[in-house]
Amino acid sequence: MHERDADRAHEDDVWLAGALSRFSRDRDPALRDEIVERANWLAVRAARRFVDRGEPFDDLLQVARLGLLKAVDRFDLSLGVPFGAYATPTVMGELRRYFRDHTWSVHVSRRAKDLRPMVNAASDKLAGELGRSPKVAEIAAVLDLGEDAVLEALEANNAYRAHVLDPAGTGHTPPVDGGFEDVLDRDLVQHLLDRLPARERTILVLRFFEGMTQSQIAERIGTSQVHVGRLITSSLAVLRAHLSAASRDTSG
Amino acid sequence: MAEAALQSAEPGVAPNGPVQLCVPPEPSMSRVARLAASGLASLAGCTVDEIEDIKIAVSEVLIALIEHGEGGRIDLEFDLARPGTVAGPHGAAFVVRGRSPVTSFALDHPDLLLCRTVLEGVCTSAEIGTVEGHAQIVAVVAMAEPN
Repeated sequence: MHERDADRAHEDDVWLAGALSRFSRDRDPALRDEIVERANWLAVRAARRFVDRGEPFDDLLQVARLGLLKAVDRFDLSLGVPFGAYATPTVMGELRRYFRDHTWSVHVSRRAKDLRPMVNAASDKLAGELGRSPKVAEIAAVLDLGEDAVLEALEANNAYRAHVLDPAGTGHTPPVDGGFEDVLDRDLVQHLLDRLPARERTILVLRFFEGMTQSQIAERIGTSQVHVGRLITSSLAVLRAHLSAASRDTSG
Repeated sequence: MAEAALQSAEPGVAPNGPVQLCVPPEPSMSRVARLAASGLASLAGCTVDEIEDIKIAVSEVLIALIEHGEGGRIDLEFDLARPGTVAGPHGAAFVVRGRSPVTSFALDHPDLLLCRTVLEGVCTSAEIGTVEGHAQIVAVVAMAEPN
């Protein structure tokens, strides 16, 4: 470990020991968020170790933070080890599972796999230049491809991301105002959204309650439209899985 | 709003009529349906944002009918609503209609409530109900600019 990292880890371990002690007693979600923020460097460092595998760093960091949350939840002070020493393997394990599970969920043609990064890049570039979401024909023209190839590549985004999000609980959800309450029970909504990381919750709220387009959300949160689309798809899958599980529990 | 969805979903309003698919109630059919819908949407000049919304709507419709239908085949229909028949800057829209035979359809089931919420997020209008012994879901995604 680098000397500076070691110093920083030590300082954080001192702070974390106190915070984790309180968290183990109170299970306060706000304190958990604070612990995760304070220990975020662990997630950053772990995510960097996988950055040469072709995945966006933001995605890796999201996965690493999920691992960090799990480490906070599971950490046992009686083990007598510093939190950093406990959390690192947990975070690394989460990242490895991400790559293990990060497979194509359905058969996707080689052409679509190969074209996907190019199509995504062209889509984002055109969106910036045009000031609006591009049309498929415009992407096809830029890349000198057929529209079918572009559509297939765009669809491959969804297959590629089918299992990204772990449906395990993550963070605390601030109360949501608006649309959901008209249709769904407030507690149920809260319960469902609690299962998503903060960024996914924000995206869903912006898309479904504030009516923003994927491109607008991408601009707001500083990522690509394609990435927003993938996160919406995977987040809805997580919500649906939780809803189904809740229904089974209720009926069982 | 729901009335508008049904009105706009009348067959034959697109220049070349609706595109119809009859699929088995399998989740793997979602990709088939999404690709078909996105192909038609692309022909209609939809943007990538609109196509992504249409694909979300198609997935929601299909999954709801798979999970709450009774195992029969699912009829999907994609159509382009005539400009002026639905709300929106240009009044043009992409219509997704799904039908599956049922004897009962629990509209207050949380799955269907979530489906409705999602559809209302991406669609101009959405209707979930039963018609003549079939569960039917009609979703209308507004197009910002017709081709």
